[in-house]
Amino acid sequence: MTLNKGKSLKTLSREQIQPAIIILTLVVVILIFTAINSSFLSFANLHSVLLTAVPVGLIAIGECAAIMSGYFDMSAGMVAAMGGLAAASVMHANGSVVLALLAGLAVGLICGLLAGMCVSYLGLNAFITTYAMQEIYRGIIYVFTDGFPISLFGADYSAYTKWGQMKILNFLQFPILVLIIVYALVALFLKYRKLGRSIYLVGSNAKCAKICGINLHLVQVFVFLLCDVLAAFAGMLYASRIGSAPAFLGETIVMEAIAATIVGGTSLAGGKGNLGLTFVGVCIIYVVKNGLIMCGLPDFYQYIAIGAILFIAVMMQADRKKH
Amino acid sequence: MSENNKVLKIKRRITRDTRQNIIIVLALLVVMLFFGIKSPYFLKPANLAALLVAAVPLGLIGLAESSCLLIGAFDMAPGMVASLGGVLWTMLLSKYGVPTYAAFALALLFGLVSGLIAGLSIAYLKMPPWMATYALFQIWKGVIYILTNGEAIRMTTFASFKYLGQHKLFGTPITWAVIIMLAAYVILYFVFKYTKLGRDLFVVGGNEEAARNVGIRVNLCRVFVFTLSGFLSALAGALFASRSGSGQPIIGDLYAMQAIAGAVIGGTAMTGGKTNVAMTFVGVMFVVCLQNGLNMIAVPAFYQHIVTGVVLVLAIVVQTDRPK
Amino acid sequence: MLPSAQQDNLNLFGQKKEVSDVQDAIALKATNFSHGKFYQDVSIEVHKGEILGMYGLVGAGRTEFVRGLFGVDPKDSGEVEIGGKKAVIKSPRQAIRAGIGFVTENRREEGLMLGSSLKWNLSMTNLKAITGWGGNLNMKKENEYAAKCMQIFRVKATGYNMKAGGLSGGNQQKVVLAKWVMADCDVLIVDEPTRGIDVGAKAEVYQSLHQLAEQGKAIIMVSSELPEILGVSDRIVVMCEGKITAELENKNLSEEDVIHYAFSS
Repeated sequence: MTLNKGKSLKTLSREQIQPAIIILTLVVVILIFTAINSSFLSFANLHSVLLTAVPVGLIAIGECAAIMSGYFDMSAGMVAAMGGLAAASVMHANGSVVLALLAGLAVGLICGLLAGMCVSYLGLNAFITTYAMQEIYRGIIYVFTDGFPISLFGADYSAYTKWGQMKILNFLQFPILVLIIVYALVALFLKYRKLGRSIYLVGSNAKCAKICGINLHLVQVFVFLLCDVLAAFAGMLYASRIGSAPAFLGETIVMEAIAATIVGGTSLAGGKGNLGLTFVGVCIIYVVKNGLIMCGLPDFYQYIAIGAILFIAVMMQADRKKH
Repeated sequence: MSENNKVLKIKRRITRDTRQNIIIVLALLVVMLFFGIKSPYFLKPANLAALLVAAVPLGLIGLAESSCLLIGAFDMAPGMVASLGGVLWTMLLSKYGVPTYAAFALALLFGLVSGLIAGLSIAYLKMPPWMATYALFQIWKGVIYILTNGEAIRMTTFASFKYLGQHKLFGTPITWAVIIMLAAYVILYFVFKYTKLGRDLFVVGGNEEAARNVGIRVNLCRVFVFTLSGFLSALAGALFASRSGSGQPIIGDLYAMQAIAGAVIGGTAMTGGKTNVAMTFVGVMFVVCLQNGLNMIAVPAFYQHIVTGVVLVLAIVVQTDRPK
Repeated sequence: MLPSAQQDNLNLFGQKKEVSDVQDAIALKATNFSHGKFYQDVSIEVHKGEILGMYGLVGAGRTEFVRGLFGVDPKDSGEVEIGGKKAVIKSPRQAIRAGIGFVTENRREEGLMLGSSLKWNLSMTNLKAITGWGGNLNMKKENEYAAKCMQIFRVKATGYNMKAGGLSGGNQQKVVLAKWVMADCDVLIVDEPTRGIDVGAKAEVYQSLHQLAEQGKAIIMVSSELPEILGVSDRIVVMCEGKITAELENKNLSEEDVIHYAFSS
């Protein structure tokens, strides 16, 4: 019994120091890049790091929920691109910002429902199914755009682009504010709503959750819905900020989001995760990315960085699990 | 009574599997016939032989994926392992003057090492297989760009380099690469069917806990499978380089997915514990025919993303066991 | 059996009440349950305040039957009446809504979330009870709820924030029992309730079952341990190869009487 007590105390304290380790990592990474390039630690640079992190930050929320309940959504990157493209096309055709917003969200909704249904009702493997969907979406995007972005330059579209470029109180750009608000809302949702709790319960032990009356199908569909709707929203916000909807948002965007989630301490075994720390994870990854660019390394070093970060993050988790 | 039942059940199982196999072969024939009608050139012997030659990289990677799927895992890395394998062979040969086959061996060694890294992190770090291999995919992609700057390495002057992929045997379009691929299928067929290792893999995929309880070294099986997969991927890339006469930086963005589709169409179970190497070959040929045929009737390349994705999803839907 | 052993058993299984204590009202009536080769044409009824023991050899179809009854696994046919009203049960959610609780036989796989805290384990069957304004979860209520559960069921743990995986088998089983009982079900199905737990915890589990029966709840207890079946239940249903072979009042029964039916199909 006493042995039991000691063991449980130890695991508890480990969980308590985990946030400290993750935040410390962020600080250390920032300090390293500051030491290399002193202009790194300026408000303007950190602000721009955060601004570029907005799409991945939003997708990471969905991935965090997905990983907590034991799934992955690989299609989020393409859904984000499609969301932006849908909104931009509506702006070209109609010019109504509300309709554009609805169109983008509808794309996320449909994609999320599709993935959720496949995983939940057909029982398909989430990873490979969403990976296949990613390729399908990639093809669809090619068919519609030939791989070219849809431009939103000019006064005609300023009703749409002004949101992404607006500055709050003259220092904080609107997308960053949105990112923080969405993080807060989803974090509250996960903590205080029954459905939010159910996500954790399903991730901890899906069989047990089912027997205890948790609606497994609802949780599964909801997780993919959250992921893809947020992804589509991220794409729209990005298109609004840069004044153009790109055909592709980058190969590694989903990997970055998943890496951020795992760096933020979300357990790959499911059932454990913290959105606040996921946000810190996103910051760590974008500080590294930005730092590599400031060190003058070409783009493709980032592929290596993401892969390496993923390995290191899982290694740290594996170490924790042993105790 | 129950003994009888068991026999009946096994009989039913065999017939169901055989029935499935017949359907797959028929599907392949239907696809070939369809393209044969659309484009008269498709069913000519020359094109059929060309199909076999074109199927070499995907055939080897399909073999890799069906071994991974056998223990219930995916390998997402083959595309970039293959690319880097080809790039390494050509670079070592043309830039550093390493003898042709020594460079070839080094490229294969790279595949082994890549697979070993994946296998070790999956077995001992408990990393989800797709994640470890996808991370490697990204890393090798970066390495390829650093090495080549995204440009193909032309190999116009090295005759011995092209021997494996371009030397025609007995006056037919069949090359050594095809022979190597078929040999790999035959070898793995026997390994899976008649060796203890092969049996162990089936048990690990079928029920990991049970495998551990009967003393199978599960982690060792995992490491073996991914090392094999890395080796076959690098071999595929090297043979592709030899055929195309150049080291292409990015040949395999879709390889992993197409190969998984091929393996799953061939009846490999998504949950592990069931595979049939011969049927994997049929599945891979299905994917290759689809690709080749779509090219031939001038369907734009990006539709292939859609087709491959849809085929994969459908194959998974069919192969996923649903309790009813 | 030696008299002293019988004495021990009596203490272990707690006070068995007279059969006349059983109330007349039928709590749950299941008719014509069948599922393939697992069980055929199984019908049982259990009264309020009654403990119905289901005995049989392993593989007799008892576990499969109760899982079908609770809606965890599919069934071919079968109708359920609860408290005299017909109930459609195709999923655990519907079973819970109809007022049934289910303590599964495999505690570690299906009974508990070993990696989660006790309070999450305890509240998961009854999230409604811990909601506050606007249907939001109230953490203070949850803590109080968990503390209450642990006090009533005498769970020995360092606190409700402890992980369920760190508890002993007996205490884990008490947590599983607690989460169902506190969810206020009328009918409780317990499958092998004392498998792999120590004698002290066993006695506490039996005591809890008796108390629940006294409060008018109906209990279906599946067990492979004959002394436990004879010591705790009011009535015994014996199954063999998927069929019910006997239904016995637990009065002056010997082990041989029951075992006889477990072997004859």
